Amino acid sequence: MDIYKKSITQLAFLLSSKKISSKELTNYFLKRISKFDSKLNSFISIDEDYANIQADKADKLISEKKNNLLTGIPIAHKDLFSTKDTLTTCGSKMLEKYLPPYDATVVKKLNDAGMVSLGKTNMDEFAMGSSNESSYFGEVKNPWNLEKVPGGSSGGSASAVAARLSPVATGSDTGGSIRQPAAFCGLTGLKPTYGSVSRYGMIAYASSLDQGGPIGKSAEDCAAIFDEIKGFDKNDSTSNHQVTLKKTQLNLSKEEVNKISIGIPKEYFSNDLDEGISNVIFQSIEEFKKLGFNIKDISLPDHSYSVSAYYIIASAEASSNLSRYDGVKFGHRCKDPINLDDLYFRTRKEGFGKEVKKRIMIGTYALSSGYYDEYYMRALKIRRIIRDNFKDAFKEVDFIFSPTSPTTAFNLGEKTSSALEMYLSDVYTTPVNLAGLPAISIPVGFNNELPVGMQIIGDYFSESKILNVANYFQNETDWHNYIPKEFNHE
Amino acid sequence: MFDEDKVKEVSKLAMIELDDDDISYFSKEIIEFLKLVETTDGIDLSKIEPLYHAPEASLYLRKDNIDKDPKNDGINSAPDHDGKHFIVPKVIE
Repeated sequence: MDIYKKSITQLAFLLSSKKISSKELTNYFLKRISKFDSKLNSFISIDEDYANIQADKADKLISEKKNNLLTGIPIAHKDLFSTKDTLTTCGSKMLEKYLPPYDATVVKKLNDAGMVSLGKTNMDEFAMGSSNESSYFGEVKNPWNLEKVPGGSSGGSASAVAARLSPVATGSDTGGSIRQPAAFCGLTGLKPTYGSVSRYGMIAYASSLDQGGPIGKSAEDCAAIFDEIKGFDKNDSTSNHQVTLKKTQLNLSKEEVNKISIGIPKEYFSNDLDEGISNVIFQSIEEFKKLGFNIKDISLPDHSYSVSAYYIIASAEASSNLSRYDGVKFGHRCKDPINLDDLYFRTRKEGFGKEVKKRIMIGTYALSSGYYDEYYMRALKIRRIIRDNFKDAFKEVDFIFSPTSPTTAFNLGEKTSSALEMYLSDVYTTPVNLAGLPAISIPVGFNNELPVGMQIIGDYFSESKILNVANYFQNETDWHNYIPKEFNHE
Repeated sequence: MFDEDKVKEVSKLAMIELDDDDISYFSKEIIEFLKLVETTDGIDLSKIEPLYHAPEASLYLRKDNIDKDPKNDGINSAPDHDGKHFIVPKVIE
């Protein structure tokens, strides 16, 4: 039956028509994980017992006809979403044995809908990375080529879904951490508007930029998850309480398409962009044109400054957020501390990896007396300029298209010796986080047998429209249906 | 000027113990990063206001009620505790 290929809607039909039970479906994917994940390392922990308990509950709901679209469908959660009494490591030695006392709102909402959690996926430590090589639990491999990175920081989620070890997964996106791994692994990944999805229980990296969202096989699957996890949460004071987000209806008509304008920012297609990727993106823009969308050149003149502003702001916020890891309240504690200072200094030396330490230090420096105005304040001002660039663009067009990443998946180890090169690979994704906008990455072709992702950026709270545009394209094309050969069998 | 002495100073503020190899590594890495930041030096930002959050929405504020029965589940995650208190090394010698 090739269950691993099925969409959420198709799986929901199989479940509600009793062709398969949630327990069978759950164990089908647990078997795939056990068969394939030794090649990928996409999971940090699997809890088969808990998955089976959840599956039994889902089967009861289905038999009582109290099910919805997601009831009984397995999902994998990025290991920065707190899961009550279940290991939540955030990819760090610091939280190697951490059992949270509550569920993140995202997890709770999906549990309440009857989804089954297969396990927790690998990630860059504290979500700091673009290659999933900074995880304390080892690097993750890209199912399209096991010598390549899957992207990061939600690399485990992307790798697992690309190899069809889970029908869908959650991720988080601070500077591109949903969209870039989705692009590298040939998947669809939605970064919602800042505030659309509650951050409660999501382990914090940079609080003004972090946003949770889905990584799936298609826009349709992402819409199903987004609809469930979006919405105001009183436990997150930054969650949106002013704009009501309606249920996504994927019903864009040809007449509506003919009225949609799409901007192509000329600055995003400079010499730094890989020629092969540029060709694939322009081919897909042509496909959008043929479908009836109106394409227009636009300018986002100051976006080259986004990477430096992003890394200052994110690091500054990280240095504050990660000060909670002091060996007292939770997480790792060094052995036999002789006094409180020794406890703090050695615990943090032992518990954090190099990339995390570096960002804490960059942030501490940028916020320190004498440097605050020079670094942090300037970065916040650049942030406004970048946001204003988008504001001006959205007066002219409805959506903006860009590559998701300047390259396809690179070799494991290729960029670990040059952090700056790694940071610069976030050039197309970080402006979106600085502006708090929603964006999706969709697969639009291949370059040297590796998937290429295209980013669709929309105005605030336009997730439903973005998903409609992506879904319209996916109904007419099949780039999202390709599966890595090594994992394309039972 | 960012150098190895600065790394030592910042690591004290950040409360992270570093060895000599770390100091040399972080100094090189951060100097390289700050060169990227310097590329923005030419922009005139004198009339621009900082943007802390986007979208610029108001925060939701809960009512300031006293929780009469606060849960203390979090203490079970502490590396050392007695059920009510976190246990740390002696502060007063």
